[in-house]
Amino acid sequence: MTTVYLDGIGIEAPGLRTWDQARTVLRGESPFHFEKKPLPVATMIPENARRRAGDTIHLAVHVAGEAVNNAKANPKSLINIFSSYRGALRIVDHICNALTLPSHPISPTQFHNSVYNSPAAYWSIATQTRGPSTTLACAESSFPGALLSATAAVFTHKQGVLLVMYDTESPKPFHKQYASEFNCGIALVLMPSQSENTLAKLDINFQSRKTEEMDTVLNPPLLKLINGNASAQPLKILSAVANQDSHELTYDYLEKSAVEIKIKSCD
Amino acid sequence: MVARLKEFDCRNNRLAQLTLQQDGFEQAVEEAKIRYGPERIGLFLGTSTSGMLQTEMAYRHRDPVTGDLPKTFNYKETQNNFSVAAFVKKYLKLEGPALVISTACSSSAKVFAEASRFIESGFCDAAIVGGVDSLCQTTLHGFSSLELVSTKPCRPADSNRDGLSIGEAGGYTLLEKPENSDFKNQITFLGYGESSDAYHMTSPHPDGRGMAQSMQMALECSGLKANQISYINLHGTATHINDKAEDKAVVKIFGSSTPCSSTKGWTGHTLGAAGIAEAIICAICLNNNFIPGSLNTRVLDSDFGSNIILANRNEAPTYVLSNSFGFGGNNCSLIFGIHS
Repeated sequence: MTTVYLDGIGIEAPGLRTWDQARTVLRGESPFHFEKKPLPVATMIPENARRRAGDTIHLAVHVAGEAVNNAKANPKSLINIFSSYRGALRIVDHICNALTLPSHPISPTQFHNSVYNSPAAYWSIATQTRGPSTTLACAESSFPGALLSATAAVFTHKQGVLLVMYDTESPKPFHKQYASEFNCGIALVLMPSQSENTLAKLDINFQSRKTEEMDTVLNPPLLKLINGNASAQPLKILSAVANQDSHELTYDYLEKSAVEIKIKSCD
Repeated sequence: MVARLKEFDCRNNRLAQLTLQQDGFEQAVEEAKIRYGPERIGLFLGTSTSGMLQTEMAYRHRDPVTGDLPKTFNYKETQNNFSVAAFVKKYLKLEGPALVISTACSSSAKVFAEASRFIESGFCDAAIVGGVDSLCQTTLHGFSSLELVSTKPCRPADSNRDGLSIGEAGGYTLLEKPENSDFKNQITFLGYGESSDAYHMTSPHPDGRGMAQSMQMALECSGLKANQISYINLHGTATHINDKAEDKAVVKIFGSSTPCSSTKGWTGHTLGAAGIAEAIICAICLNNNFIPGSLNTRVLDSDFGSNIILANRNEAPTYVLSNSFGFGGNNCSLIFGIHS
């Protein structure tokens, strides 16, 4: 079991636009309306690069910025861990279409934006963070996998970690391939020690067997988010934090294992 | 592909399987499973494009009316970036933590750092680390659009170098804690450094700022001094700007005497598999008292200050450092030695 402290949250999902607003919805103080909106523009990215950035870049950088602000953290002091089930599928769609044409018209910008770590790279350029940066994937288990990775980094390096989950609405040709049905990005700032900014203490454990799911905290409309986008999975933690619950929950991780989390509110 | 896993069939996973069947690796994993239990062995693989070729081919066969991809296309088990780890995990019947790192050309170097952290945190006791990357049209035309592909076999550090040669590769190693078995004379992973350039998506910082930082961090992690490194396996892609920036970074940290070379003249640039391919080359050098020269390099760039060697040497390196740098300024350096 390894302990990390959750200091900041950023979120962008249908009906959940910021952590402050999402918190009131998760507490049941305001109603949840599932409503798709255009992606926010990541204004932190310098203007030239911003115009060339794709949907995953805008989404990931936007929620990362909110989480770091809420945590009152210096982004330069954080290790970056970004994760997505599908990466930049919209650019894959553009490139694969272009490759069916005789001249294979792929632009250099499309190519470098298609690289899996492009959102993390735009973030490091926008914030001038020069530390370690990892982008990883575990299909539908991407969040529990990335959470283990972030926990291991906090534990090993005794440094804070910015963990960013992002998946955008899949383009049409992929709609029959377990597609993401909408945009969702959630970022967490995880620290090695408690501070006045800490929202919750998380004890995290890898379990090599399935344990009974303990996640009845979300109402059905919010569960729709988790079922429609792998990057919405942190909502279970966010709900416990919003309700200042001390709570245990588990995530299925790959086929036979689980990640267990004990949450203790510090808010 | 083995029949029980045929849903994973694509060029990248075929290469993953072919690689698993080399050098007694499967047998070594079976023995490790008995020592640790399959649930205590982590799996950390790197790839840049996974089974992208499968999607490219599917797009050539879309329904002309609906635009649908063919029914036989299986995104999740082929193109998705986790596919290679899902396949290897099932092939080897592992039950520990698993993930894929995709940071372009540093992917399968960073898996060593990731595995190290997972073991240190107690999430697993041993790890399989590696990487698999195979050719696809996206990489070929993408690198061409950036004018980074050489017209000839690549010439790292040559004054006339004009770009990289794209290769494909797979590789794995089994990492165990030294106290867990008899490790005398075994190859040892001693340290890692990871950094970001925070400079440009496709060009390294011209002074090699992030590259130098990653090498310095690897030295600090291993507890070694710069003068204890006896060979540096360069990232050395043979693009004009990479080799120049890396030369500056090497000189800054190591000065001008440490022997170094890129082995991409031998292998091409195997992208997401370059880190593991070159880690294994370093292991071969340590085991066989060998330092490789820079193949295809005729005339060294006269601006370079590092000690790039052109001819092979039969010398015993003590500690070696391997560099892997990816798009987005994602840098990783690894240090290996022989356990005495």
